[in-house]
Amino acid sequence: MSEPPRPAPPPLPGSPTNQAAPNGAEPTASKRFTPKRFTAANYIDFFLYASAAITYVSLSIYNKWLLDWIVGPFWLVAWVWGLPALYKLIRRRPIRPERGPVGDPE
Amino acid sequence: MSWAAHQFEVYAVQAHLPKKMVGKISWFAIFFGDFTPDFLAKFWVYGFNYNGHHYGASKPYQWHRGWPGMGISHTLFFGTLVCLGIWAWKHNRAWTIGFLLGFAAHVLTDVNDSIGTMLLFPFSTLNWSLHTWAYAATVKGGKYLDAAAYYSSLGAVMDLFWFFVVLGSWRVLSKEFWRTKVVPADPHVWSWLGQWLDDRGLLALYRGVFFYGVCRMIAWTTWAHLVAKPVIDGVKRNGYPWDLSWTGPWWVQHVTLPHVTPWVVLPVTLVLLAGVYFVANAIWERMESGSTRAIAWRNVRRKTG
Repeated sequence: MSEPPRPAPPPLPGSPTNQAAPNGAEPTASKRFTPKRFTAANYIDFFLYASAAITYVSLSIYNKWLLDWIVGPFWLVAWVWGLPALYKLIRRRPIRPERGPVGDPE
Repeated sequence: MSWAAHQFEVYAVQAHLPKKMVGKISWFAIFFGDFTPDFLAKFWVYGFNYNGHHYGASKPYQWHRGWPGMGISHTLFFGTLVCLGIWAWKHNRAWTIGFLLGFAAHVLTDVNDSIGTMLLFPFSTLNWSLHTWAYAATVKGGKYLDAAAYYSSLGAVMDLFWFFVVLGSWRVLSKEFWRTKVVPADPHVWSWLGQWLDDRGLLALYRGVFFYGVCRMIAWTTWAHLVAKPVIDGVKRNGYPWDLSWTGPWWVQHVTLPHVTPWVVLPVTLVLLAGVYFVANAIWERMESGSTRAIAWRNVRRKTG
């Protein structure tokens, strides 16, 4: 007895939507890769990472105590997560994530 | 010693895991494995000053990589002992093998400087070194001279090499890779961190070590060649001079410890690297049954106790 076909899992947030042909066949070469859409969130992320790198490098050249394996990763987290969190805090919105375990698509 | 190369290695190992281990090896274990040798040895290498007195190793290179000294922290023997400890404690193959791969990457990369590592400890206390660049941690020069020498020599090329290895497998830094290959291998840790950080923060944490590697590479190189004004052989210079020759740079003393002939180092290092991957591959499945038994036994104890 064959197992009934399972529904496809929901796509991850931000992932390409065009995954496979509807009849289950392999997608054609031209459809295999869908360029990632550059949304406002992508631009914000890019800005946050770039500004974190520029500020960290600029400051650490003259303050070398910043070049530390704890400070470095912490700087990135503080910048990329902390700045949006600060913005949310100012707008009196919750900072802590409201969700189940990490890794769940939704 | 290597600098940013050790940060990039973590992602290089993660990106080049054997197929059956993809999505099952703890990224944190690779990270801690790669960082443990220097966690244990580096602090005393540079030491610190207090009340006008310097506290630290009198011979940093001997302390860092030699025997007697903390050179044992840079041996595959010590890494194996720690892995056995992790396995005995947790019976977790994701952490045991992850730690082993990270640790091996660090130890094998460090054969490049003029001191090298004791690859065959405890059978031999001779150091294995390719002498690619000069080991430059000294009591007088401290961290700054060490950084300047490294980022003026083939050490900088080494960092760039590992940087491009990671860039060549750039997907390892993507959100999708993190969600599908990194988080499932360590669900409890990421879930625990997820109490405070949203996905953007967790992803930044994952990418943080790479970020630190890139930034320290740029910052130290910029400082050494554009900002520093060293006096070398009585001549004041604008920036430390580049020297991309073997065993460079010429302006630091080329210190060594008793070592084997450099010609055998590269083949032996590659054999050991292959050996580590072979052993990890060979014991991976066997460890699964060990993990299952340990979990079952723990559940029994919880129910009865």
